[in-house]
Amino acid sequence: MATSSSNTNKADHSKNPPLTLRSSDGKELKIFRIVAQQSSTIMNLLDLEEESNTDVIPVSEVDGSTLEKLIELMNNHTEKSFNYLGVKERKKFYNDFFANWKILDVLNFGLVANYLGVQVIFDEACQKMADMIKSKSVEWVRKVFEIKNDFTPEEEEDLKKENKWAYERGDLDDGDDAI
Amino acid sequence: MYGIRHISSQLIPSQNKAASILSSSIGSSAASAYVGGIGLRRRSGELSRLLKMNCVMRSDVDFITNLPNNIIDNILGCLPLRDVVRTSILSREWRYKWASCPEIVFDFWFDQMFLGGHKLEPLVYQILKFHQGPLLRFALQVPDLKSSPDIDQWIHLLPNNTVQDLTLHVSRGETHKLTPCLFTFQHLRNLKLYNCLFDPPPGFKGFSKLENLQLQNVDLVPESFIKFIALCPALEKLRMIHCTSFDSLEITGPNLKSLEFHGILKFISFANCPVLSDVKLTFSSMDFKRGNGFSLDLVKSLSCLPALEDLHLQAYALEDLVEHGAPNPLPVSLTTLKNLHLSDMYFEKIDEASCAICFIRSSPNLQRLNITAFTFDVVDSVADFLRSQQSSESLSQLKTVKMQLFSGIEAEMEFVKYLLASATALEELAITPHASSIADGGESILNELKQYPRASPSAEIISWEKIRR
Repeated sequence: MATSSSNTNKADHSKNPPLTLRSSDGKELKIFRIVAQQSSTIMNLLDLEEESNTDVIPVSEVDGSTLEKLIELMNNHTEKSFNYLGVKERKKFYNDFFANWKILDVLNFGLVANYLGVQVIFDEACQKMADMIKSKSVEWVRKVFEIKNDFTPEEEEDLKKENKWAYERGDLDDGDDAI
Repeated sequence: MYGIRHISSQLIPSQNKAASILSSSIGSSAASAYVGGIGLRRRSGELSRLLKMNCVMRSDVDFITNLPNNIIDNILGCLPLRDVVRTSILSREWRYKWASCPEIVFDFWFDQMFLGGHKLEPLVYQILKFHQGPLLRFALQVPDLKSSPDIDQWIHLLPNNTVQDLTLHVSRGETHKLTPCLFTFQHLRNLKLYNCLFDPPPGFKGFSKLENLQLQNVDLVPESFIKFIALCPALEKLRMIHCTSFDSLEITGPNLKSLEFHGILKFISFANCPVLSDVKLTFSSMDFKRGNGFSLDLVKSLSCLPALEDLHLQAYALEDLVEHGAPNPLPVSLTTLKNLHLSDMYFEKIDEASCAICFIRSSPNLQRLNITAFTFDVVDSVADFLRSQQSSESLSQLKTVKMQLFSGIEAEMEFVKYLLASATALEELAITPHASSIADGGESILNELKQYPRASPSAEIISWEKIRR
C-alpha cells in the first residue's frame, strides 16, 4: 500500500484522513487529499463520490501497480524539498525514477498520468519517451510501437527527399534498451 | 508490463489496445465526467460509441498511432527537430502528424548534427510553411545566424496568437532590427533576444503575459524601455547583459522576483517591486562615475525593496561609501537582506575593505556572506586598517561565510579575523584558495585561521572543496 511520506503530511493526518483509491485489479491505495489535489480527475471523482457517500474511489482504468507508482511520484511532488530542486537535479530525479523502464511502460505511465490529469508527471513521461526515441532509427520506432509501414519503398524514398537533411547523418544508435 | 496490455486482457482481445485505456467502461451516465485528464473528454465519447457499436477494430493497430493528438504533440514537442521530421515516414498516418508539433527549435545541436551542407534559410521556410495549428515555442539560435530580411519573414510566418516562447539569437554581424510584428505576439511568456534592436512601436500596450525577458547585446531606447517594462505586469525575471547604457533605470515590476543587470547604469530606482528578492548588478565599467553619490544612491534604492533577500554586487560599486561614514553603518539599512555576494573584492585598497564592512554592518539580518577576491598589487596597508576595526556591533545573524579565490595575504586574513571576532552566531567559514597563489592547498592558511579568536563557539572553519552542498 502506498502511503505518503510522514514529513510533509503530519498536519493532515487528523483533519483529513487519506482517500482510498481502488485500481482496476482491486488494489486499494491510500492517498492524502493534499497529494490527490494534483489530479484533476481524482478531484472530479471525489465530488461525485461525496454525493453517494462511499469511501472508496474506483479508478478502474488503472491497474494497481501503475497507480501505486503514480501515487509515489505525486507524494514526492508535494514534499517541500522537491520544489527547491534545480533543473539538473529534477532531471536526475526523473532519470532515476524511469531508469530501466521499457518505453511502452513509460507510455502507459504517461497515459495514466494524462487520464488522471496530473500534467507535470504526464509531461515528464513524454520527455522520457522523447529521450528514448531520439537518435533511434525509424525502423526501431516502428518495431517498438508495432507501427506498420504502409509505404512502398518508392514512396518512402520520395518522402525522404522532401527533408533530405533529416535522414543523412549516421549518428543513429538503436542500442538494446526499451524493447 | 503494466497497464495497457493488462487492461486489454480483460476486454475483447481484438480491441484497439490504446483505446482500452480511454474507454469509459465505468459505465454510469456520469462516465464522461469521470474521464478527466487533459483533452480526453471528446475522444473518449467517440471511442465509447465505437466500442458499443462493437465495430471491428484493425487487428494490426499499434500502441501509439491512434492516441489523441495532444498526447502525440506533447511527445513530439520534446524531440529534437530532426527526430520530429523523421516521424513523417513511420507510416501513412504519421505523414502529417508532425505539422502540429508545438515546438520548432533550430539550435546549436540542430546546426552541428543535422544541417550539414544544407542552407538554413530554405529549410526554415519549408518547416514554418508546413506547420499547422498552434505553435507554442520557436527558437532560432544557430551559430552564424546573421541579420537578414528572412528573419522578419519567419516571424511573420509564426502564429502570433499562440506563440508563448520565442528565442532569437543573431550571432554575427550587425544588430538585427526587429520587425514590429513581434509586438503582436500577445501570448508571449518567455522572450530571449541576442544582438537585436528592441524598440516597441508607439502606442504598444505591453506583453500582458510576459514572465521572463532576457536581453543580451540588445540595443534599447532607454526611456521607452522603462515604459515598456511598466507595461508588462506579469514579469518575474528580467536579465539585461551588455545592453544600452542607462543614465537612469527605473524598474516597475509588481511580480518581479529576479533582476540581473550587467552593463552601465548611473542610477537605478525601483517603483512597485514588492516581491523582488534576487538582484544582481554588475558594471562593465565604472568610468562614468561623477561625484560621490553613486554608492549611497544605490544602497538607498536597494533599501526600498521590501523583499530583497539575495544581492550580488561588485565590491567597487560601494567605494563611494567612504564619503558617507564607512566603515560605520549607514543611515539606511537593508533589513531584509539575507545573502550577499561581493565579487571582485580588491583587498589591497582600504576603501574597498572599509566599504564592505560598512555595507555588512548596514545589513543587520545578513545570514550568508560570499566574497570573491580580486587581489593584484599591494596598495595600502589594509591590514593595519583592519586590525584597528573594533567589532562594536556584532554581526549577530551571520551564519556562513564563504571566501573564494583566497590568497591568504595579510589584508584578507585580517578581514576574516574581523568577521570571526564579530559574528556571534557563525556556523561555518569556508575558504576556497586561489589555486595559483597557494601552494599547499590552503592547509597552512586554514591552520592559522583556526587560531584566531572566534565570537561564536560553534564556528567551523573548513576548506570549501571538501564539503558538498
